[in-house]
Amino acid sequence: MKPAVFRGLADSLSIAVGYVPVAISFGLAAVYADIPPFMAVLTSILVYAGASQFILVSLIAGGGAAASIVGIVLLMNLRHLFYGPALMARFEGERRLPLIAMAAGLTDEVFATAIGKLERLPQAQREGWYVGLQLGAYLSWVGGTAVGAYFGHDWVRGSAILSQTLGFVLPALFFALLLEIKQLVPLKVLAGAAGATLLGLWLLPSYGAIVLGMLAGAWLAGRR
Amino acid sequence: MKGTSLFWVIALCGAGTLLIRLLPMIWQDKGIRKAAGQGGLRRALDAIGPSAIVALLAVSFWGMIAPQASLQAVAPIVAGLAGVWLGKRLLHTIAWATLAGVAAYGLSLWALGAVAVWPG
Repeated sequence: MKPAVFRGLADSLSIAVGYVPVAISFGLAAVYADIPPFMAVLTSILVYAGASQFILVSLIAGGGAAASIVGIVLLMNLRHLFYGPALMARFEGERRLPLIAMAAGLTDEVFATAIGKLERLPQAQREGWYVGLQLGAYLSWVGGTAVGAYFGHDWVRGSAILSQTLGFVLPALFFALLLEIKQLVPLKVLAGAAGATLLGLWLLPSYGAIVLGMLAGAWLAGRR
Repeated sequence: MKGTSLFWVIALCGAGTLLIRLLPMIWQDKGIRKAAGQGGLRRALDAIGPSAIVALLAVSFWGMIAPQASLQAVAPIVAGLAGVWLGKRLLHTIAWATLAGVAAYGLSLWALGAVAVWPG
């Protein structure tokens, strides 16, 4: 199993290259939102779900109620419901790892990489390789957050332009994610979600408008 | 939000996210098939993530533009979005596209600030 773990670790480098800069940005964004650095790192350790962590910070900074924040973050991560069954279909025979070890690091990128590569590995190596892949991705995310949160603190306080620029990290990430996923759902769903959110901003606090937009998009997608 | 409340929010988000990843594996392992995996509910669940991203984008821009709809506020945003788009086209990853957009936004802020203090 050990060589397969190391091979998985090596294959996680492609994920880490993408994770580290965003994790540093997350650490900085959390500090920018007056979240203590250790809490930012704890968020990456416990939640470990990139985009929803930015949402968490955004909602905390916006003064959202605790129940709303938890609800929105979990709604955002509901797409992960469908990753587990698809992944488990790649593991045949008796399993040596507990399911919790298979689920804990199942992010979008880990899922996409695993689905692409598991088929080409012998069955006996798959669990070890997957553990290595998860571990490498997880450590790069948590480590990047720590770098951003602890070393970014003084940079943010010391530079007005940097401070203002960090306010654009979230919109930039959301726009990049939108470019990535825009083909996954019909345009009318995205337009409906945007329209409902903008309407909601007239009537509700920002986190309420976000929920309204999400529900409008889900409703439009479900009824077609 | 500070201290204990913040910790519990983070802990609940972490526990909930873990359960979202773990429970379908347990159901799969026990051979339980869920009707929720089919049809309209499946499409609705699939659409929640993209809808959330659009909603967050709309709220972010609203917060940046609504207080002061001026060239100084809008131009860096346009530059930042162009940076993200270009970064995605050339570098193909979300991480680098995000950083390209942030860099374009920051440079634009700096340039507009520099223009503002130049003697006329």
